[in-house]
Amino acid sequence: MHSFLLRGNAVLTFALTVLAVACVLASLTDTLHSSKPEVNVEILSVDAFGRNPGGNDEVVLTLHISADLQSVFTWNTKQLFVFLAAEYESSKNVLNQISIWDSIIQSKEDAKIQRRTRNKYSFVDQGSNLRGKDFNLTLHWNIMPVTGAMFSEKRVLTGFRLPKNYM
Amino acid sequence: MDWKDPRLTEQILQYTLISSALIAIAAGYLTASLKTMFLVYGGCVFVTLLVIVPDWPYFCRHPREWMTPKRADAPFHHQQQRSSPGLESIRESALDASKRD
Repeated sequence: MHSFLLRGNAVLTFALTVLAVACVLASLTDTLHSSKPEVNVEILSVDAFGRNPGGNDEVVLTLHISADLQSVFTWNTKQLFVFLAAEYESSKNVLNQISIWDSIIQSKEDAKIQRRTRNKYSFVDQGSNLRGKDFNLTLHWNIMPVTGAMFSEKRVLTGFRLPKNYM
Repeated sequence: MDWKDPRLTEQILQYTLISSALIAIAAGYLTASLKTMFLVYGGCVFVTLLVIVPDWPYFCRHPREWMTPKRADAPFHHQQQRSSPGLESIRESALDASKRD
């Protein structure tokens, strides 16, 4: 330890190692956190329902999405990626999942969602299986941390049904 | 800077940085802000650098005694150089070695 550079090197190297350990400990505190999210989605109207130029069924919905995800935020949360997926069964696939809306929430204050909107992404089937179909709308959210692992949670809402005939 | 024991520096280094990391985590957790944790820790690292890197006097509490340099062809007189008895035997053996060569 006889020169400035040696001592400076020792301090900085050890400081970085300790910082890495501190980040791991900080991310582990997330396991102590419990969240109580509230989610509700309603379909206000089916605006269009028919075959699109590709020959597949397509639906346009107006949704009312209300969710309170403030309790999901911890000190180690960078942002939440929230998306709404429509899930249903068809003759070809056991499970179809289509993301029809998403949003990025970057602060706790923005985590109270009240949106009245059309679906952001097309709700298109592979084929024409959607007439009279029962489907779930599931709100997923990915919790992206500042340090550590990313977790995913969801809330399933059942009981939605599409019209029997094209409009 | 001469000193006997680099353990002092190592100890200051390790204890200071680990305890400042723990304080930083606690401060950040209590204010629910990871930014606070990084700022507190960064400040402590800077203070640690100030304490350790420059040439402070407390690093030099036990300076090492070096022998005075002498020219190889100068005559060596016992009466001239008087220092601690331990060094005398070293000088004697060095003299004998040079005589043998």
